[in-house]
Amino acid sequence: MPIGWESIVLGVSQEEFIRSIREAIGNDRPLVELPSDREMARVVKAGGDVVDRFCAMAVDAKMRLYRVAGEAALVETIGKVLADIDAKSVLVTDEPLPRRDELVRAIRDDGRQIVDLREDDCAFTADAGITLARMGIAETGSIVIRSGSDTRRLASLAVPEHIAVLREGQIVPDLLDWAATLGSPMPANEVLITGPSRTADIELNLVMGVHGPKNVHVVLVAQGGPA
Amino acid sequence: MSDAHTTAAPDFHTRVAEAIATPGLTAAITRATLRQYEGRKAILPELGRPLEIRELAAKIKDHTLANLDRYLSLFVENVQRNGGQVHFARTGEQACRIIAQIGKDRGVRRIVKVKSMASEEIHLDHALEADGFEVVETDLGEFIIQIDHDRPSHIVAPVIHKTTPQIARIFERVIGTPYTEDPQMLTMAARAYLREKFRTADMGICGCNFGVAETGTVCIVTNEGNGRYCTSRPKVLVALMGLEKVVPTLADLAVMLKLLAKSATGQRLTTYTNLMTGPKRPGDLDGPEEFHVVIMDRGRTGILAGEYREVLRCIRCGACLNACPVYRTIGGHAYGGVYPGPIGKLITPLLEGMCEHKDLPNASSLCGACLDACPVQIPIPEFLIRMRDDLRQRGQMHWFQRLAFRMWRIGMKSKFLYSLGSRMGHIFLDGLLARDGWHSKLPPPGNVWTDQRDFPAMAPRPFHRMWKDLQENP
Repeated sequence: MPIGWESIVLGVSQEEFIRSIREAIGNDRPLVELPSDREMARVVKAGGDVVDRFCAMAVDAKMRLYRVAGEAALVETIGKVLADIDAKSVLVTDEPLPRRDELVRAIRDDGRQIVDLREDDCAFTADAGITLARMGIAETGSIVIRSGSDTRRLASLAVPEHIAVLREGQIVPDLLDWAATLGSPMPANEVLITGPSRTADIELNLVMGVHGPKNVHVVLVAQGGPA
Repeated sequence: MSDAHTTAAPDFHTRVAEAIATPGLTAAITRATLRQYEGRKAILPELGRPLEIRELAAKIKDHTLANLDRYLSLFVENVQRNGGQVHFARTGEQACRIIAQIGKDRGVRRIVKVKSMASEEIHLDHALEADGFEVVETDLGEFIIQIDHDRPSHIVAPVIHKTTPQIARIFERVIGTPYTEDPQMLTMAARAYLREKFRTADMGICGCNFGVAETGTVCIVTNEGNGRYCTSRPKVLVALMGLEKVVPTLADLAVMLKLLAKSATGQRLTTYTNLMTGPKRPGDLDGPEEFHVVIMDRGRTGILAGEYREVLRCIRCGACLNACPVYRTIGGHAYGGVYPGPIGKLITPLLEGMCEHKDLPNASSLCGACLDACPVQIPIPEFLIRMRDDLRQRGQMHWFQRLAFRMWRIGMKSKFLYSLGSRMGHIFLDGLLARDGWHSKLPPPGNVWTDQRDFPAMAPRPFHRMWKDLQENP
């Protein structure tokens, strides 16, 4: 790599940087063998109580959990949540949410405004954001949000109330399982959300909703329920 | 005002004396750190075999450090493949200049920042402000620090040293919030103020908790969500990363994540674990258009080459601070560096100069609580002893200390001198000065100890006598 003007003025070249690291390591590179997998760090095994564990951990992380028997009940449950929080405007992503069209219709019928996802500041103005959760992690009660052209990163962040729809079948036992499902291609942004936005910076007093949502509602759709 | 903090005394002992004399400081720090310490202790057993997982984490870091040239190259290659740009900074100044240049080239005016220890190290905010940028710290604690021109005193909880009334007065003075001691209302005032900054910023700067080599992913964790804002909304994103922050695989990342939040705050996982892999993809409605990673050396290759390599395992969780009886007593500012607490006693001398910070490795009782708490098992007490010896070899030990140790060695080698010494100590020193088994005012040089804490009197009967009696009349 030629040493250009930029590298002289603004830093060093990759080649030089890596070489200095190699020199620092030295010739007698210590051999630190790692186990072939990370299974010894597993906390939750696959099996019967994975969904229950997810629910317990999500509640412990101060998320609001709603278990619904099937997709039919989903629309109704979200309608109730929106009524509870008195949302005037709702942002619904274009992600493959179960019964998305029906949901949008029901929200409109309830007299709430659907905010345009394409509008740049939509997440700043909406009272609630509804997104898909791509995965749930039973170990920590986390939900997984992924970037893509059918959503906005801010749809789960700038809104005061975040509603995430998760299918039971998408719950994996352990963080190791989550890591194993990732890989190439990686999404530009993948976020594990474990509770509402929180701070304890003022004398360790816990306050919710410091920058992000003060409530995260997880609507968990059961497997094999009525479609 | 906290100018007292910003213009700290140059001498470590003076800073310690000032910290201890600050009303309420020790109590506030102790309360906060003990809560995090207890939280950590309560949640760690959930891992099943926490000690084995910590050993694995230490091994992952050691393996990575032993092959850092390879893993870092792989990381760089993957960031570039994902459409990101990588810059290399030997020094803090270079890192500041690179970041400022990125901003200038793109006409950036307002920058929002995520809390980052690497940026603290290089005083990035000041450098960027000097270049005419508006820099806004967006972590609530760092925001308070910034508007009060103070310095952080804890790696994870930067305003641990401030009380609610103090924060209320700062908010009243700087952002015009009506005085309130309600943390909820203060937090909401900061929310409203910072929300507009997030919305309108041109560039975001974050640190890097972990860089995943196999994917070129930058992972940051925040509880507040400011980390997601800064890395989602502005068109330009810069991640500043110490060169030791790499882990080989996503599975390794998962292992580290299992430990980080539990060790730091006693949470199962930080609220937002944010994985960023390149700029936004075609069609994405938000996310940065440019993704820059600035990888910084700033003395780290020196640590890598030396006898303290394992210090680079550190994942900046702050567990050793919370566990440390010295930190709990004096707080973070007295250490005089960016990194306080047990790990700071090593990192600060290693990064900023051993002779300039020669008091730090000595400010420890070597009780080992830090090692016990460290998720990656950095042998902090052992390294502190090693560093004391390094300092001695560099002639950085006071002549009186050298003399005292020499006499101690002579005394300890001779049974006669040892019993004579303990006898004399008991008769003269204890007899004349001790009250209820404690010394609270010893003559020089013992006053260095007793100025800040009591010293135990010697036992009325020394151990070797009790031992002898026991052997004779079991």
